[in-house]
Amino acid sequence: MRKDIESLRIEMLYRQGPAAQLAGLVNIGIYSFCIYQEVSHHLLAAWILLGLLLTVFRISIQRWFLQKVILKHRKFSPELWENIFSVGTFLMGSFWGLAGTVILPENSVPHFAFLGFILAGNTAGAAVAYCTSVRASHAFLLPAVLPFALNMLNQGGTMPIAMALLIIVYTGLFSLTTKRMNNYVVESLTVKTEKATAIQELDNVRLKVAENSKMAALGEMAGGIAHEINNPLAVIRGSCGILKSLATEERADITRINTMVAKIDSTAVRIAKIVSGLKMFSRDAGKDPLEKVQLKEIVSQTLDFCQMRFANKEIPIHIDPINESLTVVCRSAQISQVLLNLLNNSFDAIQGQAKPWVKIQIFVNSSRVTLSVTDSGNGIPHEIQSQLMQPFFTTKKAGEGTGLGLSVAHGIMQGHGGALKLDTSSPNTRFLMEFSKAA
Amino acid sequence: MKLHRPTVLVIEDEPELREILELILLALPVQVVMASDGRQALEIVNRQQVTAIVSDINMPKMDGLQLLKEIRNLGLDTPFVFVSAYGDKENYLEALRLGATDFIEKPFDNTELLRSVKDAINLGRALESIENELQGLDISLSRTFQK
Repeated sequence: MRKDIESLRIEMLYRQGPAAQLAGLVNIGIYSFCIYQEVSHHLLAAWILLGLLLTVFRISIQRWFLQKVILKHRKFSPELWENIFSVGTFLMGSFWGLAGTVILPENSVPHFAFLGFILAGNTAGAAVAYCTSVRASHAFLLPAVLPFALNMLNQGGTMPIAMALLIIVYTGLFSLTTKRMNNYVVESLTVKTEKATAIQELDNVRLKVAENSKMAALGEMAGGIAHEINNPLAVIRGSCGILKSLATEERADITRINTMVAKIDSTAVRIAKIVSGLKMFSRDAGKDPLEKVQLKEIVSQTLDFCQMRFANKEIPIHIDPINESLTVVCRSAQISQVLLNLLNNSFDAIQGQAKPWVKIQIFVNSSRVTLSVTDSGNGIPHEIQSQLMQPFFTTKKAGEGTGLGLSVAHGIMQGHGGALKLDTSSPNTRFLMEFSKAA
Repeated sequence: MKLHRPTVLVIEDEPELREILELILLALPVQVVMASDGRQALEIVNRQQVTAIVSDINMPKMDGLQLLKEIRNLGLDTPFVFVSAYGDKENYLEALRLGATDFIEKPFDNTELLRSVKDAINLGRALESIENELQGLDISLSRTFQK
């Protein structure tokens, strides 16, 4: 993590660079304009050219770093790139050091004061812009200011000496400020990195919980799946036995044989659908890309997997007609998992009732698509409504429910920018799966 | 004494499998009566004499284990064969404890099912004949005492 913080600190340093260089160019322009009449034009032109070359050189290095190193490789040596940046700031500082010694009109206190003003502004700007690196900041501060201060002390006189002392005091203060700001930056980057790591860990835990709950749900359903598959297998095996008996008859009844074969065929298709539903349900869909999917397709795939279970218990599932053009942007296997969870909960809750039923409806408005699953239950007691989506909360008997189903389903819907809600206004038990409408 | 055609009651909630079970059992000289859940089966048992019962466990309204309990509570010893897709130990032990005659797992072999149902019918017949004998003895005893 230490390395991550260092890398972020250096990346910030390079990102701050262009603004500081722009300010530097403005300063070069203003200062040159003010001393144009007072110093050798050749010297001034050479100084300006040097300033421009240094700026171009530094901007090129920064662009190279940001575009090639950061974007392409991500991994770099913070120490090396901090040193490269510091060389740039040292050269720029030295350039201003030249202004404070060579490119300075002689015996002109107003010009001394003006340069002192510019240098104070430059160093203040550098203290802020380069605060992510104390080294880079000092590499600018010292060569920019010290030659001017020494020159002023050398000039003698109250004003120059006062200016020299003032600029030294400023430099000291800016240096302290840089150090303090640097501490804040490092602390803030540490917090940011720790937060990012914690969020990543939390995401991993969430994925793990979702996976475990799915496995637990599969475990809960294992008995049901055995029933779902062994029953049609019994139909196939029984039909084969009857076919064997028919084969021993001298005049086999072709109509009966065809009926048996058709039965075997349709039952095998039924098993294949169950297995395909199992495959869809058991694989890890958390990293699937978001896709525009027909809602009708999701509902149909989910029902393939569990419809027979409801039919065996004589629980009708009424489904409102779903328009084929109705789509949602989602990971369909995850949405199927949420729907299956709601249907399984309904199944467990109502199977003892005299006239159980389940209803799937779709509601569409300008911004949202809502899929509701209503069952013949009388709703969820008010006192447990707020705990429904909490992990490990269950009303099922020990060993029959993990209490993770709804909390994971809730997380999945939130991950899709939607929501899973209990409709407390419904007289029956009704859950709402809300999606943002696909564009 | 001429034996009447035995009646086998089949209880299965899945229609296709119910039909297959009927076709398999019709290979025996039996009369097959069908029910789709425990409650319906109980009504049949109360209404007519049944030689043997072949039942699923997991069914709506009343499951197979509950049905067996209810039948034993009625004082009937009708042989009871379970045919279940849940071949777990708990169901098996509970079925035996309640007095089931046999326990067959789905998907079953037709021959195995037929052998088990035949055994159940023989047992049912034996029980019916003991029942008849006992009834005959009862009648003889009451006549003797009346004399």
